[in-house]
Amino acid sequence: MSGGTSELVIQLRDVHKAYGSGAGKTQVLRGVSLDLEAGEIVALVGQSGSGKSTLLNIVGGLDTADSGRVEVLGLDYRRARDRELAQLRNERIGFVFQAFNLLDHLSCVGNVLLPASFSRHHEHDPERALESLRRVGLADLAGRRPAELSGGQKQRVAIARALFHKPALLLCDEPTGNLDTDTGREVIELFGDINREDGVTLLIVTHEERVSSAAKRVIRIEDGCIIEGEAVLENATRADRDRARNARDGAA
Amino acid sequence: MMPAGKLVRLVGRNAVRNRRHFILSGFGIVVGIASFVFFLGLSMGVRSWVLEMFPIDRVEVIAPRTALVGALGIEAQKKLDDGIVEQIRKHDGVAEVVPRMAIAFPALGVWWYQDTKLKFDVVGDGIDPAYLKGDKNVELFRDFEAEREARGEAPPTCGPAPKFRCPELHFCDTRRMTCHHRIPMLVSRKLVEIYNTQFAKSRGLPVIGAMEEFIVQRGGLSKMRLYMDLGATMIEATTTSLKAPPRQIEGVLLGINDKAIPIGVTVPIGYVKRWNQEYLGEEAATTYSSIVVRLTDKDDVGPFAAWIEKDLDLRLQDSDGKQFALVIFVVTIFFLLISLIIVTISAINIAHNFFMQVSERRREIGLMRAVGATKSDIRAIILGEAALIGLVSGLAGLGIALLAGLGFDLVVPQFLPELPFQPDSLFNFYWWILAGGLAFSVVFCILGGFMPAHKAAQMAPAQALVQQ
Repeated sequence: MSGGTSELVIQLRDVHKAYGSGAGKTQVLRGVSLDLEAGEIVALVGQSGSGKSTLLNIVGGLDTADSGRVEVLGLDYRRARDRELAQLRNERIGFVFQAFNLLDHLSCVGNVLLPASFSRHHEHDPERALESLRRVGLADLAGRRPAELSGGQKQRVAIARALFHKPALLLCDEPTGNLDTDTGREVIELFGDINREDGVTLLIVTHEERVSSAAKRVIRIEDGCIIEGEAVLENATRADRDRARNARDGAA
Repeated sequence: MMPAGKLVRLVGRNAVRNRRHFILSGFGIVVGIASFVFFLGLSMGVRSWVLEMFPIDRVEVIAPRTALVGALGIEAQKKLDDGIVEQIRKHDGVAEVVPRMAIAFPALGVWWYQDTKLKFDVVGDGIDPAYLKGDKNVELFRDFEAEREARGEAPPTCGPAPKFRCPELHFCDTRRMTCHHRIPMLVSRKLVEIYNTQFAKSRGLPVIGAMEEFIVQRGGLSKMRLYMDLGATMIEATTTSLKAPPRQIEGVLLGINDKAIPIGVTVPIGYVKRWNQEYLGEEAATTYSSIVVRLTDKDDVGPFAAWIEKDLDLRLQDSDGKQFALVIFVVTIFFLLISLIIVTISAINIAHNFFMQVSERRREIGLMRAVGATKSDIRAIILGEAALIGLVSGLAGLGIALLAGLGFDLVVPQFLPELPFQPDSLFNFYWWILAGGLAFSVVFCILGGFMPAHKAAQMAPAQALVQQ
């Protein structure tokens, strides 16, 4: 249960999302409600197609909910304009993807600097990018291209990019999915450091136990409903629990 | 939208990265803009060359000769006099009115050239020296007789026979035994060309290039003299009855001027008035052969012609310039249409290429959205890349057009008939043609990139990011 005075970084209420239309319509999220407090590390676990990545994208403003309320870092997405959402992603949210999503034609520094290209408030500052790379232990490889890096190094560069504007929230989608066990562990340790030292809130989508074990809280999602870890909710607990139970029963 | 400096940096980086795509996209634009600028520059150059010779803002009013009573053999012609000149001068849209007066009686020209005595019946007219204001080498195109009379001076008498000496630049009128300043004369470019292409060729004489050079080679202005026997002719059938016996005057050729009579010599109008008075009487001395009218707007030629015909019962002489200008206009429009088609097809090609690019760069676009790009930013990046293609291709097109123009000027004259008075360049690349070509290129490329840019901006970032 969250403390009553803690700052809520994420607030979702009865969020629905479907893809397609007519007979081909697939309901991905079925009334998800969720609160995340500042400083948490939360693992969002579930099987493929359970809706966890969709939920993460909606939280990050990369996708839109069909209905329900989404409020992240004080910004109500229903009322937010594209410019405000973009500014939030630029300055206060960092993304880490399974596929790294580095631009091959840019060096490590260039990739880390990418968010600066869209910032209205920060200059194109390579020194700051180097600082980010130093934070993930890759300052020595600043001039290299992604093709010259290992998978773990690429993911560290992606994390450095996500940290460039010192975000309050880090959204990670299967960050260790393309890494071997040892490298994956290093990345998880890095997330722990970032959370501990910088106070960054992390929401990590994963299906790996080793990641969820490092989280302070694990939320399990199945068929678009949260079925575990919802105790933190104050208002939507019962509804979610019922929905989850129904979904589980239906699946069985 | 993102700051302009950052947008430029990003667009420039993308251009370097995708240079092959940029070159392929821009190729058609380069060809289109090069042909657009080349043909427009050529058209403007030829047009101004033609209009310099046949100005279309100047029309010439004439009184047509009509067989009034054909059976009786009577010809009627309305008199062009000072009254008509005043009427025209007061008409709306008329900027300048210059009457011309033909030498209305026979005159025999004698010109010593290459130690050969050339004799010919002279056709000539007179114009007001003020009409030539601002032209080159016309400072001496003055009515020296009128100036002397205005000073109240009598003409000096000639020296004793047989030399009849007179002051420098003067000749002796042996009938009156008085000295008079040589009469300034101008000839037209057309006359010199006829001399070069017809007369000189058939007689093995040198062609005249720049008249000024020719004058220097011949020993300066004082050597370019033309003698005229007023009242004399080689044509035996002449029936004009003259009021005075022949006398010889001496003229000096000042140079070439397009306002001179096309075939013949032109002198200050005061001389012609006095000669016509002397040989034919008052009527001839007050009748103009034509009236040159400059209009404030060349588009007023139509209404002016209608007025001249209806109210004054006069006509406008056919203008070669107008016909040339029409032909040039039609040819120019034809080539500009071809250029337009090339550029349009290129813009469609750019749209196609950018659609492919947007599709290939979905993940990159999704990533840019994830790290803070707005829809407007994505649109601006794609349009910026299109504009850059337009700018670079446009500049390349301009460069090619200018170089092609240079090459054209060097090569083409070798294949043209000898035209000594053709301009140094057949092209007029006005600044507005260059600026217009560049703007045309950029605008068409932006138009080509518009739909792909919109598609990219509307792409859902989450879906773009999962592209394989």
